Amino acid sequence: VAVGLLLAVGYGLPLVIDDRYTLELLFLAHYYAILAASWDFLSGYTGNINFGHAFFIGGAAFLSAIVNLRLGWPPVVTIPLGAAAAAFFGLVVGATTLRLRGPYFAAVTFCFATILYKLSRIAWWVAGGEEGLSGVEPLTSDIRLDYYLALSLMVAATGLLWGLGQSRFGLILRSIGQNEDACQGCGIDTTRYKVRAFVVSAAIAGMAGSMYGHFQMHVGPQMAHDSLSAMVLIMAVVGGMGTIVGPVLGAYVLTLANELLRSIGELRLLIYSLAVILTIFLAPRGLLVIASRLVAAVAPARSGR
Amino acid sequence: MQLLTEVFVFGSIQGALYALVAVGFTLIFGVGGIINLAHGSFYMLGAYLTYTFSGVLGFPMVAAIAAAVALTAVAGVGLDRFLLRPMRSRHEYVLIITLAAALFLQEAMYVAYGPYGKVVKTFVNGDVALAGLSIPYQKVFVFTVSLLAIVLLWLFIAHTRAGKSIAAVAQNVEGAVYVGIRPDVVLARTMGLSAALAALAGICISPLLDVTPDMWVFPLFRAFAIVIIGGLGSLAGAVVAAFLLGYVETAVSYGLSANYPDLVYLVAIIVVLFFKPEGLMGRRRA
Repeated sequence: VAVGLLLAVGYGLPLVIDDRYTLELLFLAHYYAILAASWDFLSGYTGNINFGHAFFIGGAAFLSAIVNLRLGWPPVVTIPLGAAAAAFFGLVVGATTLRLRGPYFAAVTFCFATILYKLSRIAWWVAGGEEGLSGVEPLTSDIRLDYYLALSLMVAATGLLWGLGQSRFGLILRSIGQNEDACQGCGIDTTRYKVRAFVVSAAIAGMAGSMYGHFQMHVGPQMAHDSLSAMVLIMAVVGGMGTIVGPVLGAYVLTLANELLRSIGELRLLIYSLAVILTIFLAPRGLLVIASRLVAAVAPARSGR
Repeated sequence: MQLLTEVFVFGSIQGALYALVAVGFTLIFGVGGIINLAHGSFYMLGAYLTYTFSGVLGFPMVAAIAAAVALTAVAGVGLDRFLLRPMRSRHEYVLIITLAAALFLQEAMYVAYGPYGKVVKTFVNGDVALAGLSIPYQKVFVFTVSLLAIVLLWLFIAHTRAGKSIAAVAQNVEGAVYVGIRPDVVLARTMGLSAALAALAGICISPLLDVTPDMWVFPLFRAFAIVIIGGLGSLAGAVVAAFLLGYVETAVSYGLSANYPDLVYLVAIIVVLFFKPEGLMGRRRA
């Protein structure tokens, strides 16, 4: 019921709000929600922390922008292409590093993203250097259509990830997070499941990145910057790792908070990084727990009336 | 020939500095299994504190350096004691906490000092002529201090009681507990040591570059690459890999462009992970 209500609000909002600025902000929130949920699918469930999600986001965005500008292919083609390329790189990075225990996965995702960022600034003849690529074909002609597209993709992606999370596949991923040795003892090829999860995670991040590039009509090096990877991680952790719904919640709360707190500028990240540490210490399941407690506290009171 | 000498000399300097950054990073991993994403932040902290003590408060250089190293070491111990110790059993939380700490320090520096680069005075002025090259004394200083610190670290670990207890915990935590070593104390000590080494690197290099809030990413990236190639947890491997990368980087930037060494790193990391995941001198872990 709650989900249906939220969906109704989500789809109804553009009918009430006519302000372009607000709709853009909400678009951004949907975009971050997709990113945080996709990050959570591997990292939250299995505990293999991905420090370079921006590699897939920015890489796919650059690819679709380049293909769009050079070959004139429309977003309908370039967005799936971006997702497919991200999935391919997810497979390569995953197959190399997820078979190893220890910090290799975290290190290599971090290094890939750092290098993509550098490359995007150096290779001006392909990626436009500091200024990035402008003049990318817009997503749709209307901000409302953009909004609906982003919302629908968010619902589809989160639904898919959540559904997978409830399936046998998700169960295995969560078991890997709890105790990988025990999983292997049961005869499960844990590496294969982790790589699959990473491919799904990368593909969805790539899709979102391509979408955002078209929406902005511009792709620049900042889409591959560490701070984007860090932001996605912060949203997922504060929202509640390993729950898919939590990171989505975290993305909405933090995107809106980011806007409200615009006046304090740089202090925001100071607050977020503190919030991450506090979350881990006080409520590892994040905002989700707080939200569900609130619901639980309000619900009986209402039914009693 | 001239080019070869140049690559050798400047590659050695670069390599020594990288080694100084990487030994601390690999040490805390070897001892506590901690991947410290705030390692680069200690490097940054060292540079900012030197700027504060010497440039703002007007301490003599030696006192400024000593104070910066000591304060960073305290920060390292604090990070371990208050944020990491309670989360020891959850490695993914440890990773996230160190990242959050790194971001926190970056923004704290931004708020405190602003986004623009701060300039630290060179410790020693002038150039030395060697083999037809002119090398700034500051670079000679970087090289000497780095090597000295690494040798002292090795002597400390091999020959003192406190150092041996670090090696003991790295080898076998339970064994160390049986002979009366407290792993928590050793880990805090190692983190302090690791922070001090990173700070020293940041201090030595600070006159040669701008001190900015995002300068922690660069050494962290280098440290990651070095310890993967050298073998995680291996001090000797880290030193060897650091010099190797110092030469390669200098050669590539002389031969092609200063922008390409990062790609060499990436290729090197991938080759190592494919064919020899334990690194050049690492132990294979169960």
